[in-house]
Amino acid sequence: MARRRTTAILVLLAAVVAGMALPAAAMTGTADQTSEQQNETVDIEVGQQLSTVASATTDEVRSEADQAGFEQRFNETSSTERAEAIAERAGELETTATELRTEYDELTESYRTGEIDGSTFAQRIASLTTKAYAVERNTERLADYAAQLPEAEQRAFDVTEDDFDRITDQVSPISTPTTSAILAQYTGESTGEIEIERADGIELEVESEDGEQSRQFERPRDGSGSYELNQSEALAIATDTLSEQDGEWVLTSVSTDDGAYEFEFELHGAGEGEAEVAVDGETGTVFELEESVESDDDDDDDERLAVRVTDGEPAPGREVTLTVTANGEPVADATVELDEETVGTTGENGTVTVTLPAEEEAEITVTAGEREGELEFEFEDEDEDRELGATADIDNGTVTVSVLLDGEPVEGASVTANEESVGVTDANGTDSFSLPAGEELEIDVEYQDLEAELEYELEEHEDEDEEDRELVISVTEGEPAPGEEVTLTVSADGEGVEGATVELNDEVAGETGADGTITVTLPTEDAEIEVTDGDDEGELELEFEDEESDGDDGDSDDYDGERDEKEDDDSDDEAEDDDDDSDDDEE
Amino acid sequence: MTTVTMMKSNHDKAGATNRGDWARSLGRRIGVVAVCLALAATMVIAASGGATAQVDDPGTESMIVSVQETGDATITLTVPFDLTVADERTAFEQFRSEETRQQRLLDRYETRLSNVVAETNAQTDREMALGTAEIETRTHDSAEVGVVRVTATWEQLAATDGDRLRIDAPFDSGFETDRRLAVEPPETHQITAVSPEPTSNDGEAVWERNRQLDGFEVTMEPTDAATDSDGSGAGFGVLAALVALAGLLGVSRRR
Repeated sequence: MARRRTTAILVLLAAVVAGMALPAAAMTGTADQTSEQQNETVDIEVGQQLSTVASATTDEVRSEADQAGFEQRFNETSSTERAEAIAERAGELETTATELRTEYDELTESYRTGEIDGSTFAQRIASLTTKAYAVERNTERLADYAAQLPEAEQRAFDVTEDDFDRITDQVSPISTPTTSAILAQYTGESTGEIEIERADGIELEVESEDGEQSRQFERPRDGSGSYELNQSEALAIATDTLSEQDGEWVLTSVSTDDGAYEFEFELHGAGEGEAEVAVDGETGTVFELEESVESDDDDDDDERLAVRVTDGEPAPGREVTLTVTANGEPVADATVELDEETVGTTGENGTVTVTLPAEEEAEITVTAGEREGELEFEFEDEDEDRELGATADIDNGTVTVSVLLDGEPVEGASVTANEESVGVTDANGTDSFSLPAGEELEIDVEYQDLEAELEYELEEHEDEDEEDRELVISVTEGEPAPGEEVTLTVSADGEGVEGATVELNDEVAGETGADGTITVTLPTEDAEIEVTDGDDEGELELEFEDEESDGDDGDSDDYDGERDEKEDDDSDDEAEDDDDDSDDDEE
Repeated sequence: MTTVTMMKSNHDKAGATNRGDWARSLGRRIGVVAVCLALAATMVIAASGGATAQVDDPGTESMIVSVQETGDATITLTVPFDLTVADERTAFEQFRSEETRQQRLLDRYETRLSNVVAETNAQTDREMALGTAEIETRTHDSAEVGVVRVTATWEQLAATDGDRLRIDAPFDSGFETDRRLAVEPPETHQITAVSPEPTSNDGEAVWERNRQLDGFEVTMEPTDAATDSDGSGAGFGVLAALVALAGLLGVSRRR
């Protein structure tokens, strides 16, 4: 129905466009002109395409570099620092996501009031889409890193799945199939038509020449957060809003959140299609819709089953009757699983009665031979579970556990380490105790009826402070050249290391003095200098250029190290190094 | 393991870059001298006494269109990183060391840009094509700035009419600068007409970000043939002569 209306308005618009000498984008339409247009087709110009490609590329360079930087930091740091690095990165991504959302909201408003035309609007949507996808992609990667942390620590640092969902939710209107279809046209990756319809909300509709169609719209919410409609009434409204297709839209997921029903659908029987519709639970207004359909290539629809609730209102702990169908026909003997446990098989009429779990989530999957189908429920969390967060810092043989609840320190939480009680948390929410012996450390925290658990593998039962340090060797006097005498300084954490053993091409050359220095005579060929101090090690390779072959004056490029040797510790060493270089040049 | 060697190579690279920039700016200076001579002789030239354009300003996101005599142009996107900020420095250094990441970006850029080139080609009567694309990283020591540069050659971006070069499409149709745009003429040429009015026009035409460029057109003519104005730029020529005169006075007073 929506489509038919669109076409009618399009015809009107086409007449208007034909009368205009300039393409839409060339005219910066006044508010009056644009507000009369209910629907416009966007012309994409090559200049806009070049702008989009340039900004997309710039954004990608930035986000890839940020990601590379994060991965570098993550790989270098210890367990608690990793959690901090993740939390910091999550904070950055959330800030970006929030900014993008604000930009999108402002953009939408500018278009709604006629301040910008459809062509500009669509182009900006395209640019925002690359940024939004970068946020989404990097958030997903970050979630993978965070999943390696103990759950209690994820909670303590606010890097749980829910936290990541909150970030991606911010950019959800600009990381959809529709906005990526718009982007693809602005980068010249596909061709087709973009239409924008403005009523009480804004609807974007994209058709590509390869037959892919997508659309989305957003409208202001008009309800107050209560539920006046039951789920089947809301579902009927949602289904009605979807575009008419040859096939059938099959519900795959229902969730309730903040006074709204959110439905997800899959298209069965004609091509590939997906849709998401959000309906206000009080007023029945569809305030969000996303739909995308690809034309059919091969007919694999027989493999899919549809599951419907045909009796009862789905809610935690309620009994409902499900009907399983394939291409509209009931399927008997289909196996029905509830949260991965078999709960029954369908009868002749394709029905089965199940009791939903008392949890907030339920996942129903049905299988009949090769064919599969699913239906998911997520019910609104009336009083959200309070979860205890905990983090442990191991320093110099002392473990300090911090316990948090809703971001606040918890006093009086009891702590056990390897099943031995080690006290309760103080007013700062912390409890310290000596690191128990053993290769594993399991910390349990209990507070009222809440629990948190942390598990650590302790390498060689070693205090973190005594972790191997990286010894840095620098040439502090003399010019590193074959046969020359030079003074080397061995340092760790910026301080000279006394008594470190220095080897030159695998032969011991001596030990460093009180200030960490040693004077050595370099060999006539390439030199490999290794230093050891207890478990700490460092290495410096000097490669001398063959003076015969290129007639180098030997002043500046005498040595060239291995480029693939990377160091975790950074700026201090660089500064030192730069000094070395300039010394060399001067001499 | 040591940073010394790694950083050494970085340092070298930066040094080389700086030398390259220096050589280039020397070249530009020579160009400017030539321009001045021509100006003195004919009093017909485009110049502005305004702020000095710095096309290579490493701290600003830019698109630099560097035109060659043949009509081919190198399009460079610059993405700066502030190396005095620890996180940006790590990001830049790490990105510079990860070739796979760079390659992935470059591939995507090439695919997208080739579409735009093809589309623009379809709308013009030139033989446009996308040449080689590259990604490189540079550091500018003095400015403490690291720059990722993505470059690509756009063959026949400029229309050629004898010695004269003109750039219009695709910048004249909806191109929106969310970054600084600079057009550099070949060393043998100078800009003789430009629209819309650039933010600065000192050898290169520069538009700061957020400018609408409807009606975009940049005409470049050989420096030594600046007198051969065929009338199309007559009004502009007179204005330019006045501006240039003012510019000359400014220059001599400064000395």
